[in-house]
Amino acid sequence: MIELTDNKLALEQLIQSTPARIGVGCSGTRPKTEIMLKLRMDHAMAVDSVYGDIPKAFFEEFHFPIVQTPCQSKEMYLKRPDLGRKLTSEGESFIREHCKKKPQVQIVISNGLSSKAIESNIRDVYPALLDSLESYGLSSGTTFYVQNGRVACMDVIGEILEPDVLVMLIGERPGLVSADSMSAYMCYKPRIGTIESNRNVISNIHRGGTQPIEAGAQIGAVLRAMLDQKTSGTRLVI
Amino acid sequence: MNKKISILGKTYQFNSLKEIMAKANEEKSGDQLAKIAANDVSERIAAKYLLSETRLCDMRENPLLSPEEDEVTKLIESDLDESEYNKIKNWTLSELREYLLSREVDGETMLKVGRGLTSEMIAGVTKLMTNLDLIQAASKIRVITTCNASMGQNGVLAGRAQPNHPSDSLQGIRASLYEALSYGIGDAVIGINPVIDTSSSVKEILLMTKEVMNTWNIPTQNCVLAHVTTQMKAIQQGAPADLIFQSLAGTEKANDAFGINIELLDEANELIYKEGTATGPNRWYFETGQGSELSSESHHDIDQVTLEARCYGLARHYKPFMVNTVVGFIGPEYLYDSKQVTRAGLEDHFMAKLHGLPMGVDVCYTNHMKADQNDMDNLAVLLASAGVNFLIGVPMADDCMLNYQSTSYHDIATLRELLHLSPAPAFERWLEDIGLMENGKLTKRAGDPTFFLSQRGVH
Amino acid sequence: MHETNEWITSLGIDLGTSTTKFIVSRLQISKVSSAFSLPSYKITKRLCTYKSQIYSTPLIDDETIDYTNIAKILEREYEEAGITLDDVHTGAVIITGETANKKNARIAVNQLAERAGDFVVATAGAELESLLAGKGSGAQDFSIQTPNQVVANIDIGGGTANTAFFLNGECIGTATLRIGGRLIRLNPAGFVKGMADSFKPWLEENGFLVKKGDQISFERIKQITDEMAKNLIGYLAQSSNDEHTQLLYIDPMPQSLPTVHTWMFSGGVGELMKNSERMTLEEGTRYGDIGPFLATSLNQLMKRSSFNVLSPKQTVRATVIGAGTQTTEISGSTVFIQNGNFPIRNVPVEKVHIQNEELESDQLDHIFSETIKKGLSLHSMGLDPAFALYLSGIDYCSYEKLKKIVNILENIYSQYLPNQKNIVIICQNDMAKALGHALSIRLNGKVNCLICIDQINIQHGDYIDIGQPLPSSIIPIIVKTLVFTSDA
Repeated sequence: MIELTDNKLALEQLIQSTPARIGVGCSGTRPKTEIMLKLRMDHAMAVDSVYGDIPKAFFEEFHFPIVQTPCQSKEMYLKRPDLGRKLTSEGESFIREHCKKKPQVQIVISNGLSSKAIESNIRDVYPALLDSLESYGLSSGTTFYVQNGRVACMDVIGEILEPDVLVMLIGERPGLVSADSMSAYMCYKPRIGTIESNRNVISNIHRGGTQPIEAGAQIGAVLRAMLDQKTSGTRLVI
Repeated sequence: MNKKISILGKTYQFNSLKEIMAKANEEKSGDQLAKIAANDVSERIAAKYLLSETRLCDMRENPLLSPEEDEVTKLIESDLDESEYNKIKNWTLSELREYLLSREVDGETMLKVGRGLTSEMIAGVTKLMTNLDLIQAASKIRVITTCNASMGQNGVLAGRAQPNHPSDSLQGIRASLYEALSYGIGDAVIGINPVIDTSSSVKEILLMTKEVMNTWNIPTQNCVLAHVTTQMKAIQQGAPADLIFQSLAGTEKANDAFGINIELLDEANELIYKEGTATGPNRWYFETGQGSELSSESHHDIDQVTLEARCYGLARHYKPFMVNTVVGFIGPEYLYDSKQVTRAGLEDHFMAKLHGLPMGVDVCYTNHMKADQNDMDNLAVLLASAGVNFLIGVPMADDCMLNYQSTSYHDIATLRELLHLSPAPAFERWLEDIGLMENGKLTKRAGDPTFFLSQRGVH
Repeated sequence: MHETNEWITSLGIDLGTSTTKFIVSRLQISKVSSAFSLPSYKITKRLCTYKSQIYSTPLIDDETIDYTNIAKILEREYEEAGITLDDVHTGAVIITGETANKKNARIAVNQLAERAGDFVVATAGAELESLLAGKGSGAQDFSIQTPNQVVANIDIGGGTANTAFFLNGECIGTATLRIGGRLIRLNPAGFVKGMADSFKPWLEENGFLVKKGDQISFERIKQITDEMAKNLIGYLAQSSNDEHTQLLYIDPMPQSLPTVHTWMFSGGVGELMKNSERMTLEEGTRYGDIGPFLATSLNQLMKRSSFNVLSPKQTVRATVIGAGTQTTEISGSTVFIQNGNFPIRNVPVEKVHIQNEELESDQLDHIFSETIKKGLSLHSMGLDPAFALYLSGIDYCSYEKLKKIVNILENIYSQYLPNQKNIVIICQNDMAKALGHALSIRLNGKVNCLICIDQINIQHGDYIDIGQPLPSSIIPIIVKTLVFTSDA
């Protein structure tokens, strides 16, 4: 059994300097039980976030219409990113019929790789985003939710609704530090064939990362810059 | 060459060597995503049968991607040892497999034969091998390389210290590095993946790691894994880099997506030999991984094992100090579960070794893959048995910057004890000198990062 | 990713007890975030690009600073440095040691600040002076390189010894004693030409009965400086602290001192310590004071005690370089600015510390209004903004909490400061932009100017200067911390 240093303060300072799991000690060459279980638990949270679904209560609170991609199962979603970039034909007709056409700003929400990301962050990001749009004098269309979407389904939606700018709030691949991290992908006039370098992104949005309300406010600033400069991606000056 | 075969009353017809190569692969979600995989298991085995009868010269004469349209093919072709090739060109892949596995053929001989094989031939024979074949064949080959210190010797398992930090905090990187060193990890390299891809930030990290190396006289090498152009700028600004790093892909187009080409690599090569701080002859660190070509849609309908082999064909041109595949990083759309990751890890290790490369493996997975830490434990044992040059050491296997899980400092220390392997020789002597190792075992002081605070280095 | 760097010019002016110095520095502001996160910036380089010669501080008499002559010196130095006032973004004038006690000190320093450029602040105080010297000497940087070991920088000038203690790059305390090279002035023959009044009690208590006009021997001078060194180091190393040492105290002293691992000496006496060898009386009095003797005494004492002494990067100019390069901080980059008229100088800060529990309760309203009432009682009502509100202690600001805060802010500003046209709010956490948007919607044009900035650490009682926002929308801020040891 390796006893950790008597120099507790120094060890504490090393541990504080990084979120990496250091100063954990060992038994033989193997990690201590508690730290091993902590790792397993963090992984479990991440896995459950990938495979879990957003609870019904969330939709009762926000009333976002739900639109499907052809990915009917998580396995299909994980193996076929190409299908996550499309909407089902029902989905396409739904937004064509029920969503505002040619809005200045279109907001889309998708679980992506983390349902927890949406569940924990939308409550803060979304109203802060609406505030910033109002404060910049921008108007938005009909916000809706895409089940099992990929970032590039922005293009299909852009093609149908023709917004000036589109922001997609989507769950990121969960890490062990945060299983509920969300990204905001933004694009000026997204259409089928839009290349990745034409999108802008703010990632790592969660309590312990980019502050959700501040992210919401900044998304508004980025969208406004896109509208002013009529471009997005690497050419956008923020 | 034959593209049609009947087995047990069923006829399988293929259109090209490219199709046979793809369908002979063990199941990979990436090949399925590319829509080139076998439709069922028996079609896969039928393709293997046909492949086993294919002669090496048939493969050379029917390149999957012609040298005219791809500079990686051209480089592999021009680097080929014609005299070695001529000795074996009429062998079938089946004969090659049996030759490599025969007891009479040792590692030295395999390396010699390897120089006469194109990357596609090596990929081909790999498809005929079972997991244990891959372990057995690879375990015979030793590839020893030297940057500041040497690794790859028989009985050596080195570890990369990967003390990444989510905002490149020098203090945080240093703390995590102390932890690595205290477990005897860091003999392969002290290598940091930076968040900030700027030359000034890269330079700061190189300076800090160099300072730790100098303070403690550590026989190892440093590297910051930014884009090669950023490292070049940092080196030109006087940053002390022992190794220069780049991720490689197996086609010209995919390398283009990485922002590199052979001309740029040549330029970096010249720079690291002129201005690098290392003393030894091997100055490159490459990373690869199955699936990257498909992810940039530059795979030319070639399967991911073959494309991976082509990365090694490119890598061996630069006589690198170390290469590793980041085997499970890319995600479930390329390698779905632990079975596929395990297979890929063993394939990559074997293929690289037969290319004469100092191969390590980042035994890893992401959280959306059907795999967990137990699967990594298994693969690490398999690879250590196969004689892998090095593994990646991350605090508790959790990389807090890249957000994936690899192997831990603890894991590498455990594998050494379990399989009677040692750190690189000079590094082991250093560990003995400072009292972290005794008679080949970690001492009671190991595992305590404050060890490197309590004393001010050895001179 | 491309490298985003901006450079700004910062001045430093140090009016010391015996000497005056001036420097020009360039601060590099770099983007330190990846392309995928919110932009974030840091000051990554602080380079001193011009140093003036060292001037004797111009005085009209013992009590009065000769402002006209200082202004002339500065004019010449600006020209020499090749800068004009328009080039200057930020900086600090610091008035140190005994100079701060001169009768026209405050006026002089403010006039200098006005003349020194658009955004140069005037400031003083022993703690700040110690801190700046420790930053300028390189002690702070050294403490980053030697984790978990305390590095003490003692800046000894003419009248005071200002000590700052650093641990892992953070200043964990300061202490100032009345020890300096110019406390006794001598001529080459050893005749006493003058003494600081404040130093006399200590001399008497120690039995050094000297007065103006006396001739004192080499040995006697050395006995005095040996005793000074013993008192200073004995106090700082916590090996001795008798009542004699207490006569050297200037401000309330810290209650406890850390254990020092490495010592650095800067300031004029620090410079002399670099090469204090055997000397004659004439050599020892070459500056007309006891500086060289004190340097020799300190060197011998440190050697005898086997203390770990390290040469600083800067000695005489440590404080001025600290003032020029180290006083400016930058805000977070997601801020809210509506019609700001910059620079905004000398804004007092009232702190609202919000515990999370309180946020959930109705007490929050009460906490805000109490802070506002206190602010109103303390600060002049003629100013607009009368003060800035500093919101600290919020662990995580959800949108719900933000809404509560916005409601309260609207209420209290309309209730207590209905005519206020400028509102400045500073947040410790990254939340200023969201707060700004929500508040501006609510205020709906009721104020001219609304500024919300974040990620600045401020203590109660601080004043801040807010500079012109840089193109990347970050804002340079100078926090004028008067007391930073007690509350930190």
